[in-house]
Amino acid sequence: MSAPDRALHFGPPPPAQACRQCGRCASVCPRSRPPELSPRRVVRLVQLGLRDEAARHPFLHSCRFCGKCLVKCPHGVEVARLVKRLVFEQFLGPPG
Amino acid sequence: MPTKPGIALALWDQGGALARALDLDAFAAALAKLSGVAGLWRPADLEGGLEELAQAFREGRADRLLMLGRATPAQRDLIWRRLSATGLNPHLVHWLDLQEESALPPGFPSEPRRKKALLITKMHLADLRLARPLMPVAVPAEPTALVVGGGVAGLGAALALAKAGVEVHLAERTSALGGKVALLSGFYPLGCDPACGLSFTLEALRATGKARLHTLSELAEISGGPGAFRAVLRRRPGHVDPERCDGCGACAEACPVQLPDLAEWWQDEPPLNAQAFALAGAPAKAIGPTGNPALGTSYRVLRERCPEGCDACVAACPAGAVRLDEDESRLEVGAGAVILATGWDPYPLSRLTEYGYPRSRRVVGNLEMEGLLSERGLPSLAGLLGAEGKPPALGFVQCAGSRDLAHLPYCSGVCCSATLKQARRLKQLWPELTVYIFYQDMRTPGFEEDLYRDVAAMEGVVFVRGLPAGVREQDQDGRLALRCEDAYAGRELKLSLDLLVLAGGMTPSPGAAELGGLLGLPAGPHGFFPAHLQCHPEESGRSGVFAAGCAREPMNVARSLESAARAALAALPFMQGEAWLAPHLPQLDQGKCDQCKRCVEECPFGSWSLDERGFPRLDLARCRQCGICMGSCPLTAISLPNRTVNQTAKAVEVLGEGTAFAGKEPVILAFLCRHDALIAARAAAAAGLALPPGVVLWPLNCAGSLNNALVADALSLGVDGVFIGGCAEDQCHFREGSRLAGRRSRDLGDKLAQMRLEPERVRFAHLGIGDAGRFAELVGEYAAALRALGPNPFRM
Repeated sequence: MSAPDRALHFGPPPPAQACRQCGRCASVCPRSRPPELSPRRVVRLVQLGLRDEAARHPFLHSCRFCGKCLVKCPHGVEVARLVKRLVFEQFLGPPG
Repeated sequence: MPTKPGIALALWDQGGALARALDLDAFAAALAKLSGVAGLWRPADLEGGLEELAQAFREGRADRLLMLGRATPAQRDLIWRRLSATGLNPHLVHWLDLQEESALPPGFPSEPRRKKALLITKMHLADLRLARPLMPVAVPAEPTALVVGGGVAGLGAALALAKAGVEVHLAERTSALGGKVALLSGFYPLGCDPACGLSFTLEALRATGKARLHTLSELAEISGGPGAFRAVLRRRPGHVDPERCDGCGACAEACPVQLPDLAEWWQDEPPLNAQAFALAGAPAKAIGPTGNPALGTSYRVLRERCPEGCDACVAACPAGAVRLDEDESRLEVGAGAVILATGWDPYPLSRLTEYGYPRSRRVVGNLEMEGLLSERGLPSLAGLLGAEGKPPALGFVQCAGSRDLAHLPYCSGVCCSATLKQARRLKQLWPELTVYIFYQDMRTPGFEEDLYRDVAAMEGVVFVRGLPAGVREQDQDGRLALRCEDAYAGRELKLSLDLLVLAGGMTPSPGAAELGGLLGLPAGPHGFFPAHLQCHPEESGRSGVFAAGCAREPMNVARSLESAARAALAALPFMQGEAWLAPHLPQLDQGKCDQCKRCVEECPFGSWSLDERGFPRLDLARCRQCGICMGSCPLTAISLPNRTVNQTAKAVEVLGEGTAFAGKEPVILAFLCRHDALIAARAAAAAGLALPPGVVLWPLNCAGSLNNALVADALSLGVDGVFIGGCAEDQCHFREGSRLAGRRSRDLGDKLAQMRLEPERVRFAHLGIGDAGRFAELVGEYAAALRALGPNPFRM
């Protein structure tokens, strides 16, 4: 695991609350296949407090972490990092 | 034998709080014995007692009044009416509600309560003894206004002022009046033509005969202050005399120069509407109008495009208005006040690279769409929408570059309704058109909701909850391909559009920053002129300078006009021949001043400058009389009349001599801003909240007006702790006072160390006007901390 990934896994999770569900991440995402596979859905689940459901979301298997969503987000939500963190949570269990 | 007049003490205990709290007879007896007191009035009925009191003033036995106890507002009015009739100056009257001043702490025995009440009375007597009668100060106020900006807000303010009888100089940067509103094809919600309202305003303005409109003019220099500004307007050469030109167009016909498009006309402006006008295919010559002809002539020459030696326009002009040899000119004007109505510019949409603006001719901004929807632009628009065999479709991207941390973080508040208005117009013109509106939130406050409802009900208008992240041009027909996810359906939409409109936001006009520097205005959020939004939205941070319209913040036309009227009204007192100022203007003792310039630097309103000998000089009309300079002066050389450092020092001295009243309890002197913290503290005392018995309140005009020398004085005289209460940091009525007070109280640490005192003996807190409970909590905690520290070693 690289140092940034380790920091992402053990550090505080990237916040999702600033999201206004504008959908730019989904529009720019090359792997988005709505309705099931969409980064916006994953962020929404986190916002609703359904973290477990988010960590089991099938989009986590699609994402290639290209980071386009992260660049396009007007509200500063680090979507790709959030997804990656959820992947860690799914496969490595909760940190610590 | 006539004696020196003294202070009249009057005791009126409405509600009986005093009588319940202490032995009133013993208290009155003690009061009567105080030195310098001309007598104690303790009337049984107010009318009779007042007559007696007024008699004392008429006979010259008393010349100032300390009113103790509580009176209803009506009783206060009555008291003041009777006494002012004797010639008593209002600045020689103090009202002291002993209960509110926490002089009667519950749970404190009656005897020390009386001592505390007496001590507080003595403090206020010491203060009042040094008070002087004050009169308002008149300064000259030239009945002329300078309005910068000839858009809808500038014209609105100019009209309001001209109607009020003020001469108005209006400086407009371009050669056309009307600003951005003149470029719109319709107002929402009615859709009426803005040229109608603008020409109506211009007509009315000209009819007053009071306004001089200077086009192509900018503010180059400004000096002086409120009531007496001197401004220099610089006029760029337009080479057409606006007084003579009637806009017949003969010159443009004669002009041999054919420009590729009209874009060049906006070379000294942002690329506003250039594309739309180019699309509209208007002939572009080296001479021509830049604005709507309905708003008067706006002809000018692009001199650098003229062929050498050509004077075809001069020969063609029947009015003899063309002046090819015209040079830059300067005009000096006087003004009592300045109104900034510098307006807005569209956010440069070319920064949104993903939408292909302005590369693709099928991507336009919302202001350009206004151009396309005008009579001149409609043919171009029709050309863009008519792709063969395909149903026409058009999209609006809301929040294009707005509410985006990488672009404009704020909402411009007009783009939603502007889009709805354009969509409605488009559907009226082309009923078969499909309009997609991509949004994250639709914001249509108030009656604008009706517009939203109308448009949403239209067949073929589709609101998509989701923003496209980009767009690309399709090869076959140049139409736009766009992908977007709708949140509600959870579906991806792939659309092919004829035209994409980017609903971009508003930025301050580029001249605003320069102008702000020229006028010394504090930098505001995002380059707009800051405002004290709730209390004084027209406030620019400099007296005599007011902001109107989008120079203040993004707003629609209706709000711009309202803000213009408000700015005009606020400016009016500086243009009435003379302006009356409250009499608390700070005074400098030059004998004490060592020219350190601290006052010049710390004044939040730029009121102090240096005179030719290097002493600070006050611009009376700029001053807001907050006293921050008084608090800043390391040598206590500056004081506000009747709120002097010396007066407070005398009161502190009295407290220092009387610290015994509190017994073993710590004595806390609470210096409180009278706008918020003092009101909270008085409310806490009046409500009987548990305040430490040793706390004594002292009013400040602003927390920033407290001089550190007074804090050191209090501690060296044995006060156990000094509590300073200012407003919330960003809510100070005088902008910086609370912040400065906080910083200064922290800086006191060194001084206290020299005195071998603990830094905890000074505490600063931000308090709101409703923070009565919090005040009680904070001073309670503070008293506990001071008890732990032990008494002040200087305490007698």
